[in-house]
Amino acid sequence: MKYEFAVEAIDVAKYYYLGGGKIVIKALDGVTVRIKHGEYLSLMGPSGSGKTTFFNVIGGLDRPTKGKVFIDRLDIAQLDAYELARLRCRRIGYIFQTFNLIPVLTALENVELPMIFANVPREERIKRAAEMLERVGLGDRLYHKPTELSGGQQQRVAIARALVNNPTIVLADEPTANLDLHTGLEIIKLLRELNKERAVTVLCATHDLKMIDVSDRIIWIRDGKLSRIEERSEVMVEIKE
Amino acid sequence: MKPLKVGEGSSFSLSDAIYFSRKSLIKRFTRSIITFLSIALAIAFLTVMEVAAAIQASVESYGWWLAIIAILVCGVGITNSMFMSVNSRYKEIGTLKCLGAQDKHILIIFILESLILGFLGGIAGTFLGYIAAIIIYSVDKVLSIGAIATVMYSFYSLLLAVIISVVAAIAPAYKAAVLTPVEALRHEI
Repeated sequence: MKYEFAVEAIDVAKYYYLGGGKIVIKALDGVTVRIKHGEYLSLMGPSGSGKTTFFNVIGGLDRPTKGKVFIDRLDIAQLDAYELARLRCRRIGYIFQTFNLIPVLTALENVELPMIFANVPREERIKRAAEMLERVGLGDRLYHKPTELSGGQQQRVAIARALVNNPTIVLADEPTANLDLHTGLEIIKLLRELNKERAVTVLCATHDLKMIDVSDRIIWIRDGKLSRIEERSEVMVEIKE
Repeated sequence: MKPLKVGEGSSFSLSDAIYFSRKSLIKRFTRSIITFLSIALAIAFLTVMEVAAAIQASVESYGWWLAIIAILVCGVGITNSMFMSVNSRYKEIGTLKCLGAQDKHILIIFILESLILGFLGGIAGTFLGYIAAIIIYSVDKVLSIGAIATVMYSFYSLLLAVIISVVAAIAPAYKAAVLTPVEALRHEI
């Protein structure tokens, strides 16, 4: 039987020491979250609440000061640099606020990139990258450079890139912050569709209330602490375009 | 609880790295051309000195010093230009690391960029050097040094161009390679 949780963060804390250790900034202070396979979670909180820090710690980009993070039951703290790179490549997909496509590569090559690092043969790489781009609605934009695509299209390429290695979890850090309302909604809907279709877990850091509507659960973070976790049905927000 | 395997291997091959480096060089065309020209000029100078030494049997030693200094200045120029390239590509480096690139992949990409410029600059510089030598002396005199010597001097010039471009790129490439993804992504340009 498949283990129930895709990601477990247990009592995670991240402290920054300033002024030679005299001042302690608690960016994260004892957060415990268990994320089930196939769940769509939104991580809500004002800027400076520790969202991005939490996101970085879960994504294996930053090591926590205290606590443990498990991805697919793998303890991130036990991995060396090489294994961590492999974990990021195969188990985690990243979507950024600023899209972060590689400017010199075409849409197709951008989507191929994580598969190159994952040792997928060339023919299969191209086939899967083209299928993935087709799925996000960019079948006719395979050979365009990021500069020739709109913001929404660039984010679609980024989504295709994040999902193409069939990761356990997709981490999206404010994916709609640089998009207009309509395009942002389309991106959110696409993420939700792919989440259902491919049973991939999605964790979305945001302060965009549009996100609530598609989430299974919402995690609220404030001052580095978990303030509450809510099911979608418990939240009364009406979203209109 | 036994940790699960993360998966082995990566097929990021040399040809992928060359492709990536080549595209990046074309993207920053002006910077590439300036670096290329500086290598070509320094190597041309060196080649002229080599040919002159072969023709005259003895050349003034300050000529050699000037050639060495020209190459050192060129090396410093490459280092500077590579550091600028790394600084302007923090986000790209961070993204590559998020996608699964290891430190060595980043290192290879940046070293290769410099190596490609060094190689091309070396070839152009050797040609320029021989043309300059022909103008300074004469076709006959330059030909008189013989085919073997010509090939040998060209090889020395090219080798030096490649060595200087790789050595000059080590520090910037290392800086890029050891960046943590968080540091690289936090950097806003």
